[in-house]
Amino acid sequence: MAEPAAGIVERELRALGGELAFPETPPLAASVTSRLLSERVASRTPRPFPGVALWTRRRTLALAVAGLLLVGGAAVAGRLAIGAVGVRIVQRSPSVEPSTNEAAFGRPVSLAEATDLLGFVPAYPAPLGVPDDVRIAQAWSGTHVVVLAWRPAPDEDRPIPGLPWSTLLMQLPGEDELAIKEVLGGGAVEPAKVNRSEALWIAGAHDLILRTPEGERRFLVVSNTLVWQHDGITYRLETGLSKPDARALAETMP
Amino acid sequence: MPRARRGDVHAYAELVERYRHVAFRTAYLVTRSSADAEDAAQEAFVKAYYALGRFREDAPFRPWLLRIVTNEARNRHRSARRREGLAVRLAEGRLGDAAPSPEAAALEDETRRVLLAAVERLPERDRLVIAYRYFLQLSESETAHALGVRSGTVKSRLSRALARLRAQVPDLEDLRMEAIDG
Repeated sequence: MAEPAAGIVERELRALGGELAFPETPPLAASVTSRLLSERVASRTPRPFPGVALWTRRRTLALAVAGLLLVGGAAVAGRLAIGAVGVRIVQRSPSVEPSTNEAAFGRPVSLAEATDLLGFVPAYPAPLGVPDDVRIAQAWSGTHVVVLAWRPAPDEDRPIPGLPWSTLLMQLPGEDELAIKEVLGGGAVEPAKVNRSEALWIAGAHDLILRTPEGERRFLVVSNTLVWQHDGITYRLETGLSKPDARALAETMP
Repeated sequence: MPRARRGDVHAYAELVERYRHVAFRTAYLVTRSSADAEDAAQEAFVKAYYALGRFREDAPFRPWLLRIVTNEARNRHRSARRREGLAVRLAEGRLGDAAPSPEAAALEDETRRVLLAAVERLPERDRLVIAYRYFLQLSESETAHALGVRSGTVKSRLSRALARLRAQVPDLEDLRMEAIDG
């Protein structure tokens, strides 16, 4: 029996749909992400930044962060700090390629050996459990810096590009500036709180400079970072988590 | 989705990656310009991100997104950019064909070109309902949501569009039978 004409047209239209030569789909994820990240800070620009370099080690962080957020999309130099980590607002993009590797974070040690060298027991968020890797390095001042690292859980987190880990927790004792973050002007730097401590949230790509006895070593960070200080130790949590999740994780620390 | 709703841009990027093809093709069907379609899809994804708080979590994401894409694409359709025509891939470049003879393949291509030309001549409202239903393979309900009309409207437009196509290509059945016999 002949197929009704209406059925033929519908069937041919379906077949035609599979044979259409659409133009190649552009890689929209990168452009959308870039726009959203840049609009985060640009949307918080109620008045112009004074344009004076800001170095706020001894000022209140709240004031420094407010000043930074006023930068918005303008490329204005500015600096602020939280404990041993300084943040510079710069006018150049972060490094082109991820340059991190495991060795860059120092030599592998046990938690006990790290405790001996640091003079304190490194704390970590209880939900993460005992770290998979512990690395220790010496900063320019002779102070030891420890990095606790966790590998991705099966079928959960993705590792940080260039590294076997999905979460890093760096601990820097004292007030000497041991590390610097360089964030492109207008980048996503936001104030945050960890328990009652002031904190900084840096979303997305930026440069991390470690000040070692051999000089400055620069790395590209592609994940999100939360920086806060507690009891004289500066904590730097690097992870793919969102700001609320990273903060919640940080608040599980003793 | 829950992470994206909480503002996690990187989680949202995964949603963009998952839906970018259908979003871009939807925009292209409206604008007929690659550049306009890219702009419309990108703008739609940004607007959808900011509107996630108003999006009902139990509702399907795709038609909701395609509604935004369609609106953005319509806004750009009036731009002065050059319009491109839809094209059909040639039979020899298609996968899964059971090695038709050259004559049958040529007839099959001809059938589809004739049908596509007929779709292109339809008024926009009829053309889009055909394109969304058959070219994007959206359901009737998804098509209605994406076009911002009721399901009943999709039904009636589809019925009218199919009738117009049958009238424009009365020999479609003959062409098809020749392709099969060839």
